[in-house]
Amino acid sequence: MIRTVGGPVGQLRPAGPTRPDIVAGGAAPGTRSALFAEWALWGKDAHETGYHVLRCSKGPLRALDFAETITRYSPGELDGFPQYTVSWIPDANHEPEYIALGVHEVALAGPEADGRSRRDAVGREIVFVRLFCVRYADLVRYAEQAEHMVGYLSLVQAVDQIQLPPAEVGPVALALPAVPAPIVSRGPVRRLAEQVATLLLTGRQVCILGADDVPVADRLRFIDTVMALLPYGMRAAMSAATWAGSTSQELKLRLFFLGTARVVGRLADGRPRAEDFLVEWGHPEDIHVTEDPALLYQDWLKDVKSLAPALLAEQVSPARFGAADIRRMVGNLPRDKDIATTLDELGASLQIADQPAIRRAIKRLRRYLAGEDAPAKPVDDQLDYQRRIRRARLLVDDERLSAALKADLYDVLLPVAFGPALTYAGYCAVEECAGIPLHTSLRSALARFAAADWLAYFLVHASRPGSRGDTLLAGLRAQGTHASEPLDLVMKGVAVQALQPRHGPIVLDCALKYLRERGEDPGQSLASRGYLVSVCEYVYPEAWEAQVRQLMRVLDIAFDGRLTRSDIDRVFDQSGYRPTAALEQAVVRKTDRRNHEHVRNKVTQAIRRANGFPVHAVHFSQGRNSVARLLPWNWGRPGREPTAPPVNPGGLRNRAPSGDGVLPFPRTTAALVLVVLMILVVVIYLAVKLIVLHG
Amino acid sequence: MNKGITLWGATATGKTSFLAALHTALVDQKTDSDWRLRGEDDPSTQRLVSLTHTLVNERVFPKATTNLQEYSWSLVGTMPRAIQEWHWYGPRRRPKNLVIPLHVVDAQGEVAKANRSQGRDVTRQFIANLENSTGILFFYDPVRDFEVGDAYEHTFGVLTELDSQLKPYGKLPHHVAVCITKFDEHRMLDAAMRMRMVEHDIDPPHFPRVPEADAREFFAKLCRLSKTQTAHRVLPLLEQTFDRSKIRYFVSSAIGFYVDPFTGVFDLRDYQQHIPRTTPDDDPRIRGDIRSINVVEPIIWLGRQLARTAG
Repeated sequence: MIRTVGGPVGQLRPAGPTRPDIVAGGAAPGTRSALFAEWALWGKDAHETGYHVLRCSKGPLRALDFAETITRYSPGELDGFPQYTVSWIPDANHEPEYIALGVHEVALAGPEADGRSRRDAVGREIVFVRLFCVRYADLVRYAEQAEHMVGYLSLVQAVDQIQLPPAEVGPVALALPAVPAPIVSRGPVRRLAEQVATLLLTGRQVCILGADDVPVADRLRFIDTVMALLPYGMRAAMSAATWAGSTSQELKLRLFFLGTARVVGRLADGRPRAEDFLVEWGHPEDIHVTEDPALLYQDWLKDVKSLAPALLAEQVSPARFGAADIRRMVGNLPRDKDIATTLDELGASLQIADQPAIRRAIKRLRRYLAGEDAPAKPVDDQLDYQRRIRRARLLVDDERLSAALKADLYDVLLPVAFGPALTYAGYCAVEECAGIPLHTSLRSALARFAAADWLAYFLVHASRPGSRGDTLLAGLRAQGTHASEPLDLVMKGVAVQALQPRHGPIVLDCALKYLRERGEDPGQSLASRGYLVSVCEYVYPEAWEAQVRQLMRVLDIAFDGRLTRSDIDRVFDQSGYRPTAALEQAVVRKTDRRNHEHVRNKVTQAIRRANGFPVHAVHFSQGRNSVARLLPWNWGRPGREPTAPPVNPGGLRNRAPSGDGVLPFPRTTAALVLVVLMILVVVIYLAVKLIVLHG
Repeated sequence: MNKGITLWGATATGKTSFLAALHTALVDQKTDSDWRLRGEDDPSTQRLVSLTHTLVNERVFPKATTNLQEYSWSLVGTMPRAIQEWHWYGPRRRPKNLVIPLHVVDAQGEVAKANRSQGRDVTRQFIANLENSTGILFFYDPVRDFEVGDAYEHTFGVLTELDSQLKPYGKLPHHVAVCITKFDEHRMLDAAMRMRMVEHDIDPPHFPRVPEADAREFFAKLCRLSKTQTAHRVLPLLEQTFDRSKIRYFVSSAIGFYVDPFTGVFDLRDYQQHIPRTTPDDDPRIRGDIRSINVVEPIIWLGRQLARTAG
């Protein structure tokens, strides 16, 4: 039976990669397209000794393209014919364009001979290859119209009886069977196919041994079954053979049957070759894979079981076996239930502690998360997930579950409902869902989850079981965070009242630790932030003593040792904040008794300043009048113009001497005044004497 | 370069038959070294058995090679009196066992064709193999070149690319054993006899041979008979590209001459070993027992070079 299409190439054929000059129209709408294949016959004539393309179709693919495909995907030395290879041909952009089916055979003998010679010029047996190349897009279009996917077996059935025309004509039409050839649906061969499909996702070549006695049709059916367990689009870049030679130097096939395992050798250029995955026919023992995509796929396959081929048949986008494509493929594996349903089911399973069901749900959620292409979940969706988690108490500690299961559960629930990274708001929502305080398993899971801001980071890591301060700050150091950035975040949270007071002590403690460790001039940083008076007031609203202790710590960081008058002036002369009783008490506790009066005066001034009164305003009760203030011994006392805080060059703190006002040395001042007075007396005496003498 | 030996030659020049005869030729050798061939892994061992069985037992030529095949074999032999030991009665020499790893790549002849009719990939792979080889077994079939004349076509393209790949070298560093094959063909023997280059073995069955000293000249003269008048360039091309001191020439035959089992000696009137097929579907057959000529010598020479290179 010879079916050829002459003249312009069929309706399904746009410009090809190698002959862009050949352009064809599209299929008429509403009509079922026929499937055409470009073809080539590889072999030699009776008078020749070397293999080459004997003849090929006229189309976008040229003889050299066919030769390249046949030799590149050659299975090597073959025993027993026919054998089949499947391969692919890329377009000009190296994307899969054609899938190629090669039929390796010898010419028939006797009355059935088809004109091809069995022996070459030196009497050696000729192995012919009939290569049929179908554009992948055409195949998918055909399958959509036929409402079933086309497998390799169907293609072989279609091409098996096609004897290629003797002259170079157009593509041949393929008469595909109306009913698709069945794949293996159960038994050890099916289990083996599932394992091989998983192994293919590791990127290594998979070799099946021990199938010497298995008919070639069954081996092809096995390849078809393997590919049916992967998205249909992966056929666009699949290469496989029903048999291959063990001594072939570089098999480019991904899946093949061998008589003897290949040894780990070297490639032609001397590089070591990756070891094949060896699988024994009929022995579907458990396989061990470590690659994440393969593991996720394996879980998915166990989950959907026999539904896999039906679910995957619709995934027709061409995909290659590269790492990126495989990750994307695993992420986009068809989902049988959405996240919301899975969460609800998880709630029901948790109520009765159905651990297998919980594990299944975890795996399903893990697959959702593996989808890198999946757009970030809208906020509304995540709020919905959070509501479901709260309602089903999914984050509440359940002692019936093992620690490992809880860890797995929280590791998927957190990214699903609070991801991609935990914000402070997300942390608060977690607390709402799980209750306060968070239990140990959840805190550990939170620590494994990425934090989006420092507040969440502090809360998660400071409360993590066994956490240490140095490791906590290591994260900030690693990010190169500015010393005062966490502090600003805390102040901002306080300013807009977004920070929960119960979180205040932790985040404030961490921010201060970091400032103390990394700040070049923590005193200046704290001074410009009002010595965190407002933060302490917010964080410890009812705990006056705690406020005092925290402020003492702040002053400890800002100043060295006991506070001097200069330090006290600096504390209270800052504008923009109102000193509190707690601050006054903290300063009092941090300074000597002789400065207590000074502290009270400075507090008064600061309050006046904060209330908008002039700093010089004196209370009547204060007793010291303006005249008294002019006396030298009252200089430098309260009531004078406040002095500016000393500039602190070079990062040295509080190095200015005490009493550094206008006259910091009263005794010297007094002596000077006495000298001036004496001079004045002498001058007056001399003047009086001159007047008296001269009359 | 650490890959061993690569076979190179046009299609049907006898590369695979040469390998198929190697095991038997080593068994038949008459030297003190007792060299033998050993497979180093399962596929290579099976291939060695299958090739030898096809040629020696079934007496048919092996199938043509597909693409590139690699075999991991070893030459195992004994060096007599190689180790000196001292005893109370004086010095004593004892033999030393040697194992020379032999990584052999057998390439389909078409991959060396200049027009790259086999596709770029496989040709590139072949060149990479040559690049990483220490030894090259170059096959020249004068009969084929007389009929087809494609030796030069299979040589210059590959050499040009190989030369380009190994730019830092002046002359390429490979050791090349040039095998002028199919000496058992009557036209070859006639030519050698007419050129007065034939000597007969002293030992039975007294096979005619072209001595190694004359092999280069024999090759040069045969090249002039090429159908396409291009083969005369093969020899200068090889000698320009490789170091002359690293090229040796061997006039060889994988199957040897026919010897009547009753007489056991070579008979100039009846020596044709290769029986051509009578119908297109017949297998060409080998008439008698395989008695290879100059099959062991190039391999052992290259094996020694490999061992020396590996230290």
